[in-house]
Amino acid sequence: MKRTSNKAFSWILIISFSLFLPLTSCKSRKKKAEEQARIEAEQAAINFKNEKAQLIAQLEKLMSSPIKDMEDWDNKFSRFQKFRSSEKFKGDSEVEAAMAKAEDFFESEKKRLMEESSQGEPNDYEDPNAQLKVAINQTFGDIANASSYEEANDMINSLMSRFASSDTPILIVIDQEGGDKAYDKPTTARKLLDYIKDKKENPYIVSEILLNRSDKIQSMELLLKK
Amino acid sequence: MNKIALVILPLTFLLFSNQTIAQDEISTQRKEAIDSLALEKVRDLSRYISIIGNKSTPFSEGNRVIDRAVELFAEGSEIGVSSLYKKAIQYFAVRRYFERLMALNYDQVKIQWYDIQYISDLELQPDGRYVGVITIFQRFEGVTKDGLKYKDTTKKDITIYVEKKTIQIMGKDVEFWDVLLGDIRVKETLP
Repeated sequence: MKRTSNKAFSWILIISFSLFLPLTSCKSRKKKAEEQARIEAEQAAINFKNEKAQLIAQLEKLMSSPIKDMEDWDNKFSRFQKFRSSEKFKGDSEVEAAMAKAEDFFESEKKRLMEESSQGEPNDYEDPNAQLKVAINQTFGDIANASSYEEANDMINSLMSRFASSDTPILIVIDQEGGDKAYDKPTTARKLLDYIKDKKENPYIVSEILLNRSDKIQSMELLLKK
Repeated sequence: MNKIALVILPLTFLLFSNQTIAQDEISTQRKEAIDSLALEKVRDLSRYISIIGNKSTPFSEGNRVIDRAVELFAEGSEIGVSSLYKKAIQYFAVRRYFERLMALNYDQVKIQWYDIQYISDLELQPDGRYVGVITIFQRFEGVTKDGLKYKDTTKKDITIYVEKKTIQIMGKDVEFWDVLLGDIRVKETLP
Protein backbone atom coordinates (compact mmCIF):
# COMPACT_ATOMS: atom_id res chain seq x y z
CA MET A 1 0.00 0.00 0.00
CA LYS A 2 2.85 2.33 1.02
CA ARG A 3 4.76 1.45 -2.20
CA THR A 4 1.73 2.36 -4.32
CA SER A 5 1.33 5.76 -2.65
CA ASN A 6 5.08 6.48 -3.11
CA LYS A 7 4.78 5.68 -6.80
CA ALA A 8 1.73 7.89 -7.13
CA PHE A 9 3.57 10.68 -5.34
CA SER A 10 6.51 10.36 -7.76
CA TRP A 11 4.18 10.58 -10.72
CA ILE A 12 2.52 13.65 -9.31
CA LEU A 13 5.94 15.25 -8.88
CA ILE A 14 6.97 14.44 -12.49
CA ILE A 15 3.71 15.77 -13.92
CA SER A 16 3.92 18.96 -11.82
CA PHE A 17 7.47 19.58 -12.98
CA SER A 18 6.63 19.00 -16.62
CA LEU A 19 3.75 21.48 -16.32
CA PHE A 20 5.64 24.05 -14.30
CA LEU A 21 8.94 24.08 -16.21
CA PRO A 22 7.60 25.34 -19.57
CA LEU A 23 5.66 27.97 -17.68
CA THR A 24 8.77 29.30 -16.01
CA SER A 25 10.81 29.15 -19.25
CA CYS A 26 7.99 30.99 -21.12
CA LYS A 27 7.97 33.61 -18.39
CA SER A 28 11.73 34.02 -18.53
CA ARG A 29 11.65 34.34 -22.35
CA LYS A 30 9.00 37.06 -22.06
CA LYS A 31 11.08 38.79 -19.45
CA LYS A 32 14.15 38.54 -21.66
CA ALA A 33 12.26 40.01 -24.64
CA GLU A 34 10.97 42.84 -22.47
CA GLU A 35 14.47 43.49 -21.21
CA GLN A 36 15.79 43.48 -24.80
CA ALA A 37 13.07 45.90 -25.91
CA ARG A 38 13.88 48.15 -22.97
CA ILE A 39 17.59 48.13 -23.85
CA GLU A 40 16.81 48.89 -27.51
CA ALA A 41 14.45 51.73 -26.55
CA GLU A 42 17.09 53.16 -24.23
CA GLN A 43 19.72 52.87 -26.97
CA ALA A 44 17.39 54.55 -29.49
CA ALA A 45 16.75 57.35 -26.99
CA ILE A 46 20.50 57.79 -26.45
CA ASN A 47 21.11 57.83 -30.23
CA PHE A 48 18.33 60.36 -30.74
CA LYS A 49 19.75 62.54 -27.96
CA ASN A 50 23.27 62.33 -29.44
CA GLU A 51 22.11 63.10 -32.99
CA LYS A 52 20.05 66.00 -31.68
CA ALA A 53 23.02 67.39 -29.77
CA GLN A 54 25.16 66.97 -32.88
CA LEU A 55 22.60 68.80 -35.05
CA ILE A 56 22.31 71.67 -32.57
CA ALA A 57 26.12 71.87 -32.36
CA GLN A 58 26.34 72.03 -36.18
CA LEU A 59 23.74 74.80 -36.23
CA GLU A 60 25.68 76.68 -33.55
CA LYS A 61 28.85 76.27 -35.60
CA LEU A 62 27.14 77.79 -38.64
CA MET A 63 26.33 80.84 -36.53
CA SER A 64 29.65 80.97 -34.66
CA SER A 65 31.17 83.71 -36.79
CA PRO A 66 29.86 86.52 -39.02
CA ILE A 67 29.34 85.53 -42.65
CA LYS A 68 32.09 86.86 -44.92
CA ASP A 69 30.25 87.51 -48.17
CA MET A 70 27.25 86.42 -50.23
CA GLU A 71 29.06 83.34 -51.52
CA ASP A 72 29.76 82.30 -47.95
CA TRP A 73 26.15 83.08 -47.07
CA ASP A 74 24.89 80.87 -49.93
CA ASN A 75 27.10 77.96 -48.90
CA LYS A 76 26.17 78.15 -45.24
CA PHE A 77 22.50 78.72 -45.95
CA SER A 78 22.34 75.69 -48.26
CA ARG A 79 23.86 73.57 -45.46
CA PHE A 80 21.27 74.98 -43.07
CA GLN A 81 18.49 74.12 -45.54
CA LYS A 82 19.69 70.51 -45.60
CA PHE A 83 19.43 70.36 -41.81
CA ARG A 84 16.02 72.00 -41.92
CA SER A 85 14.65 69.53 -44.49
CA SER A 86 15.30 66.60 -42.12
CA GLU A 87 12.04 65.16 -40.79
CA LYS A 88 13.66 63.36 -37.87
CA PHE A 89 13.49 66.17 -35.35
CA LYS A 90 10.21 67.73 -36.49
CA GLY A 91 8.24 68.78 -33.44
CA ASP A 92 11.22 68.73 -31.08
CA SER A 93 11.10 72.05 -29.24
CA GLU A 94 14.88 72.33 -28.71
CA VAL A 95 15.68 71.69 -32.37
CA GLU A 96 12.93 73.99 -33.55
CA ALA A 97 14.23 76.76 -31.30
CA ALA A 98 17.75 76.27 -32.72
CA MET A 99 16.35 76.32 -36.29
CA ALA A 100 14.44 79.54 -35.58
CA LYS A 101 17.60 81.10 -34.12
CA ALA A 102 19.57 80.05 -37.22
CA GLU A 103 16.87 81.45 -39.50
CA ASP A 104 17.05 84.82 -37.70
CA PHE A 105 20.83 84.71 -37.95
CA PHE A 106 20.78 84.15 -41.73
CA GLU A 107 18.15 86.82 -42.21
CA SER A 108 20.13 89.43 -40.24
CA GLU A 109 23.43 88.45 -41.88
CA LYS A 110 21.86 88.78 -45.33
CA LYS A 111 20.57 92.23 -44.41
CA ARG A 112 24.00 93.24 -43.15
CA LEU A 113 25.78 91.98 -46.27
CA MET A 114 23.29 93.73 -48.54
CA GLU A 115 23.72 96.98 -46.62
CA GLU A 116 27.49 96.65 -46.75
CA SER A 117 27.43 96.01 -50.49
CA SER A 118 25.27 99.09 -51.10
CA GLN A 119 27.34 101.42 -48.86
CA GLY A 120 30.07 103.77 -50.10
CA GLU A 121 30.85 105.26 -53.47
CA PRO A 122 31.40 102.81 -56.30
CA ASN A 123 35.08 102.45 -57.18
CA ASP A 124 37.06 100.56 -59.82
CA TYR A 125 37.10 97.41 -57.74
CA GLU A 126 33.44 97.39 -56.78
CA ASP A 127 31.13 95.16 -58.77
CA PRO A 128 28.35 97.37 -60.19
CA ASN A 129 26.09 94.32 -60.43
CA ALA A 130 26.62 93.13 -56.85
CA GLN A 131 23.05 93.83 -55.77
CA LEU A 132 21.59 92.24 -58.87
CA LYS A 133 23.68 89.13 -58.23
CA VAL A 134 22.44 88.94 -54.65
CA ALA A 135 18.86 89.27 -55.82
CA ILE A 136 19.29 86.60 -58.51
CA ASN A 137 21.03 84.18 -56.11
CA GLN A 138 18.16 84.71 -53.70
CA THR A 139 15.55 83.99 -56.40
CA PHE A 140 17.42 80.85 -57.49
CA GLY A 141 17.12 79.62 -53.90
CA ASP A 142 13.43 80.56 -53.76
CA ILE A 143 12.71 78.70 -57.01
CA ALA A 144 14.48 75.62 -55.67
CA ASN A 145 12.43 75.74 -52.48
CA ALA A 146 9.08 76.48 -54.14
CA SER A 147 6.29 74.31 -52.81
CA SER A 148 4.56 73.79 -56.17
CA TYR A 149 5.11 74.06 -59.92
CA GLU A 150 2.80 77.09 -60.00
CA GLU A 151 4.77 78.93 -57.34
CA ALA A 152 8.11 78.11 -59.03
CA ASN A 153 6.77 79.14 -62.47
CA ASP A 154 5.53 82.48 -61.12
CA MET A 155 9.01 83.21 -59.76
CA ILE A 156 10.64 82.08 -63.01
CA ASN A 157 8.37 84.31 -65.10
CA SER A 158 9.08 87.24 -62.84
CA LEU A 159 12.87 86.70 -63.01
CA MET A 160 12.72 86.20 -66.78
CA SER A 161 11.84 89.88 -67.14
CA ARG A 162 15.42 90.69 -66.02
CA PHE A 163 16.89 88.77 -68.98
CA ALA A 164 17.17 90.08 -72.53
CA SER A 165 15.41 86.92 -73.75
CA SER A 166 14.63 83.39 -72.67
CA ASP A 167 17.59 82.31 -74.84
CA THR A 168 20.11 84.51 -73.00
CA PRO A 169 23.28 82.40 -72.84
CA ILE A 170 24.39 81.07 -69.47
CA LEU A 171 27.88 79.70 -68.89
CA ILE A 172 28.61 77.37 -65.99
CA VAL A 173 32.19 77.12 -64.76
CA ILE A 174 32.96 73.56 -63.61
CA ASP A 175 36.66 74.12 -62.88
CA GLN A 176 39.14 76.97 -62.71
CA GLU A 177 42.91 76.72 -62.78
CA GLY A 178 44.44 80.16 -62.66
CA GLY A 179 42.74 82.08 -65.43
CA ASP A 180 41.82 78.94 -67.35
CA LYS A 181 38.14 78.09 -66.93
CA ALA A 182 36.43 74.85 -67.92
CA TYR A 183 32.75 75.12 -68.78
CA ASP A 184 29.76 72.80 -68.85
CA LYS A 185 27.69 72.87 -72.06
CA PRO A 186 26.21 76.40 -72.25
CA THR A 187 22.53 76.64 -71.45
CA THR A 188 19.89 79.36 -71.69
CA ALA A 189 18.16 81.49 -69.05
CA ARG A 190 14.86 79.64 -69.33
CA LYS A 191 16.43 76.20 -69.25
CA LEU A 192 18.59 77.15 -66.28
CA LEU A 193 15.62 78.31 -64.21
CA ASP A 194 13.60 75.23 -65.15
CA TYR A 195 16.61 73.10 -64.18
CA ILE A 196 16.73 74.64 -60.69
CA LYS A 197 12.98 74.09 -60.40
CA ASP A 198 13.29 70.40 -61.40
CA LYS A 199 16.33 69.78 -59.24
CA LYS A 200 14.70 71.45 -56.21
CA GLU A 201 18.16 72.66 -55.35
CA ASN A 202 20.31 75.60 -56.38
CA PRO A 203 23.86 74.40 -57.06
CA TYR A 204 25.05 77.77 -58.46
CA ILE A 205 26.33 81.19 -57.49
CA VAL A 206 26.21 84.04 -60.00
CA SER A 207 29.76 85.17 -60.74
CA GLU A 208 29.46 87.47 -63.76
CA ILE A 209 26.64 89.40 -65.36
CA LEU A 210 26.70 91.36 -68.57
CA LEU A 211 23.89 93.86 -69.08
CA ASN A 212 22.73 95.39 -72.36
CA ARG A 213 21.79 99.02 -72.91
CA SER A 214 18.30 98.40 -71.52
CA ASP A 215 19.81 96.97 -68.34
CA LYS A 216 18.68 93.48 -69.26
CA ILE A 217 20.99 90.53 -68.70
CA GLN A 218 22.55 89.54 -72.00
CA SER A 219 24.86 86.86 -70.61
CA MET A 220 25.64 85.36 -67.25
CA GLU A 221 28.33 83.15 -65.77
CA LEU A 222 27.78 80.83 -62.83
CA LEU A 223 30.08 78.99 -60.47
CA LEU A 224 29.31 75.68 -58.80
CA LYS A 225 28.79 75.91 -55.04
CA LYS A 226 31.48 74.03 -53.17
CA MET B 1 70.66 51.16 -93.92
CA ASN B 2 68.03 48.75 -92.70
CA LYS B 3 69.46 49.00 -89.18
CA ILE B 4 69.22 52.81 -89.25
CA ALA B 5 65.61 52.59 -90.40
CA LEU B 6 64.86 50.16 -87.59
CA VAL B 7 66.09 52.71 -85.02
CA ILE B 8 64.67 55.86 -86.63
CA LEU B 9 61.15 54.57 -87.33
CA PRO B 10 60.24 53.68 -83.72
CA LEU B 11 61.84 56.93 -82.50
CA THR B 12 59.80 58.97 -84.98
CA PHE B 13 56.65 57.13 -83.89
CA LEU B 14 57.40 57.76 -80.20
CA LEU B 15 58.05 61.43 -80.84
CA PHE B 16 54.75 61.97 -82.67
CA SER B 17 52.65 59.84 -80.32
CA ASN B 18 54.06 61.76 -77.33
CA GLN B 19 53.04 65.03 -78.98
CA THR B 20 49.47 63.75 -79.44
CA ILE B 21 49.22 62.64 -75.81
CA ALA B 22 50.63 65.93 -74.54
CA GLN B 23 48.02 67.81 -76.58
CA ASP B 24 45.13 65.93 -74.99
CA GLU B 25 46.46 65.69 -71.47
CA ILE B 26 44.42 67.34 -68.74
CA SER B 27 45.28 67.94 -65.10
CA THR B 28 44.03 65.69 -62.30
CA GLN B 29 41.93 68.56 -60.96
CA ARG B 30 40.24 69.04 -64.34
CA LYS B 31 39.72 65.31 -64.79
CA GLU B 32 38.01 65.19 -61.39
CA ALA B 33 35.79 68.14 -62.36
CA ILE B 34 34.77 66.32 -65.57
CA ASP B 35 34.13 63.08 -63.65
CA SER B 36 31.85 64.98 -61.26
CA LEU B 37 30.11 66.72 -64.15
CA ALA B 38 29.28 63.35 -65.76
CA LEU B 39 28.00 61.94 -62.45
CA GLU B 40 25.84 65.04 -62.07
CA LYS B 41 24.31 64.46 -65.53
CA VAL B 42 23.35 60.94 -64.44
CA ARG B 43 21.82 62.35 -61.24
CA ASP B 44 19.91 64.87 -63.40
CA LEU B 45 18.57 61.99 -65.48
CA SER B 46 17.54 60.18 -62.32
CA ARG B 47 15.60 63.27 -61.20
CA TYR B 48 13.97 63.64 -64.64
CA ILE B 49 12.92 59.97 -64.68
CA SER B 50 11.36 60.38 -61.27
CA ILE B 51 9.43 63.50 -62.42
CA ILE B 52 8.27 61.91 -65.70
CA GLY B 53 7.13 58.73 -63.93
CA ASN B 54 5.35 60.58 -61.14
CA LYS B 55 1.60 60.58 -61.83
CA SER B 56 1.10 63.90 -60.06
CA THR B 57 3.43 65.73 -62.48
CA PRO B 58 1.34 68.10 -64.66
CA PHE B 59 1.26 66.95 -68.32
CA SER B 60 2.93 70.11 -69.66
CA GLU B 61 5.76 69.86 -67.12
CA GLY B 62 6.20 66.16 -67.91
CA ASN B 63 6.56 66.90 -71.63
CA ARG B 64 9.03 69.69 -70.97
CA VAL B 65 11.10 67.42 -68.75
CA ILE B 66 11.09 64.75 -71.49
CA ASP B 67 12.72 67.30 -73.83
CA ARG B 68 15.36 68.10 -71.19
CA ALA B 69 16.00 64.41 -70.53
CA VAL B 70 16.39 63.62 -74.25
CA GLU B 71 18.99 66.39 -74.53
CA LEU B 72 21.21 64.49 -72.09
CA PHE B 73 21.69 61.66 -74.58
CA ALA B 74 23.83 61.13 -77.66
CA GLU B 75 21.74 60.68 -80.78
CA GLY B 76 20.57 57.13 -81.45
CA SER B 77 20.96 55.99 -77.82
CA GLU B 78 18.68 53.32 -76.42
CA ILE B 79 17.36 52.45 -72.97
CA GLY B 80 16.71 48.87 -71.84
CA VAL B 81 13.52 47.83 -70.07
CA SER B 82 13.18 44.63 -68.07
CA SER B 83 10.50 42.94 -66.00
CA LEU B 84 10.45 40.17 -63.43
CA TYR B 85 7.83 38.44 -65.57
CA LYS B 86 9.74 38.52 -68.88
CA LYS B 87 13.14 37.11 -69.70
CA ALA B 88 13.77 39.32 -72.70
CA ILE B 89 15.04 42.88 -72.29
CA GLN B 90 13.41 45.38 -74.63
CA TYR B 91 15.36 48.36 -75.92
CA PHE B 92 13.68 51.65 -76.85
CA ALA B 93 14.87 54.87 -78.43
CA VAL B 94 15.32 57.43 -75.66
CA ARG B 95 12.24 59.61 -76.39
CA ARG B 96 10.01 56.56 -76.85
CA TYR B 97 11.22 55.23 -73.49
CA PHE B 98 10.26 58.46 -71.71
CA GLU B 99 6.86 58.61 -73.45
CA ARG B 100 6.15 55.04 -72.36
CA LEU B 101 7.31 55.86 -68.84
CA MET B 102 4.90 58.80 -68.67
CA ALA B 103 2.02 56.64 -69.94
CA LEU B 104 2.63 53.67 -67.60
CA ASN B 105 -0.61 52.03 -66.56
CA TYR B 106 -0.25 52.54 -62.83
CA ASP B 107 -2.03 54.84 -60.45
CA GLN B 108 1.16 55.64 -58.56
CA VAL B 109 4.75 55.27 -59.69
CA LYS B 110 7.86 55.77 -57.61
CA ILE B 111 11.30 55.48 -59.20
CA GLN B 112 14.50 55.94 -57.29
CA TRP B 113 18.11 55.63 -58.41
CA TYR B 114 20.86 54.91 -55.93
CA ASP B 115 24.49 53.72 -55.70
CA ILE B 116 25.44 55.83 -58.73
CA GLN B 117 29.13 55.23 -59.41
CA TYR B 118 31.76 54.67 -62.07
CA ILE B 119 32.51 51.04 -62.92
CA SER B 120 34.81 52.08 -65.71
CA ASP B 121 36.64 55.41 -65.42
CA LEU B 122 36.55 57.98 -68.20
CA GLU B 123 39.41 57.07 -70.54
CA LEU B 124 40.70 59.06 -73.48
CA GLN B 125 39.93 57.32 -76.79
CA PRO B 126 41.90 57.68 -80.04
CA ASP B 127 39.08 59.86 -81.45
CA GLY B 128 39.68 62.45 -78.67
CA ARG B 129 36.56 61.57 -76.68
CA TYR B 130 36.57 60.30 -73.13
CA VAL B 131 34.44 57.21 -72.61
CA GLY B 132 33.42 55.60 -69.32
CA VAL B 133 30.62 53.58 -67.74
CA ILE B 134 28.51 54.51 -64.72
CA THR B 135 26.38 51.94 -62.98
CA ILE B 136 23.16 52.65 -61.09
CA PHE B 137 20.48 50.72 -59.22
CA GLN B 138 16.89 51.59 -59.98
CA ARG B 139 14.07 50.83 -57.53
CA PHE B 140 10.70 50.82 -59.28
CA GLU B 141 7.36 50.67 -57.50
CA GLY B 142 4.05 50.84 -59.34
CA VAL B 143 0.59 50.56 -57.77
CA THR B 144 -2.53 49.97 -59.89
CA LYS B 145 -5.98 51.41 -59.16
CA ASP B 146 -6.92 48.03 -57.66
CA GLY B 147 -4.02 48.29 -55.25
CA LEU B 148 -1.86 45.71 -57.03
CA LYS B 149 1.80 46.40 -56.53
CA TYR B 150 4.73 45.72 -58.83
CA LYS B 151 8.25 46.22 -57.49
CA ASP B 152 11.67 45.48 -58.87
CA THR B 153 15.27 46.60 -58.59
CA THR B 154 17.35 46.84 -61.74
CA LYS B 155 21.06 47.27 -62.12
CA LYS B 156 21.85 49.36 -65.18
CA ASP B 157 25.06 50.43 -66.92
CA ILE B 158 25.19 53.82 -68.63
CA THR B 159 27.88 54.63 -71.19
CA ILE B 160 29.25 58.16 -70.84
CA TYR B 161 30.85 60.19 -73.63
CA VAL B 162 32.74 63.40 -72.88
CA GLU B 163 34.10 65.62 -75.60
CA LYS B 164 35.69 69.06 -75.66
CA LYS B 165 33.79 71.34 -78.06
CA THR B 166 33.79 74.99 -79.05
CA ILE B 167 30.79 77.25 -79.44
CA GLN B 168 30.52 80.93 -80.35
CA ILE B 169 28.71 83.07 -77.79
CA MET B 170 28.33 86.77 -78.50
CA GLY B 171 31.16 86.61 -80.99
CA LYS B 172 33.52 84.87 -78.59
CA ASP B 173 34.74 81.27 -78.88
CA VAL B 174 33.92 79.34 -75.73
CA GLU B 175 35.35 75.88 -75.13
CA PHE B 176 33.20 73.54 -73.08
CA TRP B 177 33.01 69.90 -72.01
CA ASP B 178 30.03 68.20 -73.59
CA VAL B 179 28.85 65.21 -71.54
CA LEU B 180 26.44 62.91 -73.33
CA LEU B 181 24.87 59.71 -72.09
CA GLY B 182 24.84 56.69 -74.38
CA ASP B 183 22.94 53.40 -74.17
CA ILE B 184 21.52 52.30 -70.84
CA ARG B 185 21.93 48.52 -70.62
CA VAL B 186 20.04 46.35 -68.13
CA LYS B 187 22.46 44.09 -66.26
CA GLU B 188 20.25 42.44 -63.67
CA THR B 189 16.63 42.54 -62.48
CA LEU B 190 15.74 41.46 -58.98
CA PRO B 191 12.49 41.45 -56.94
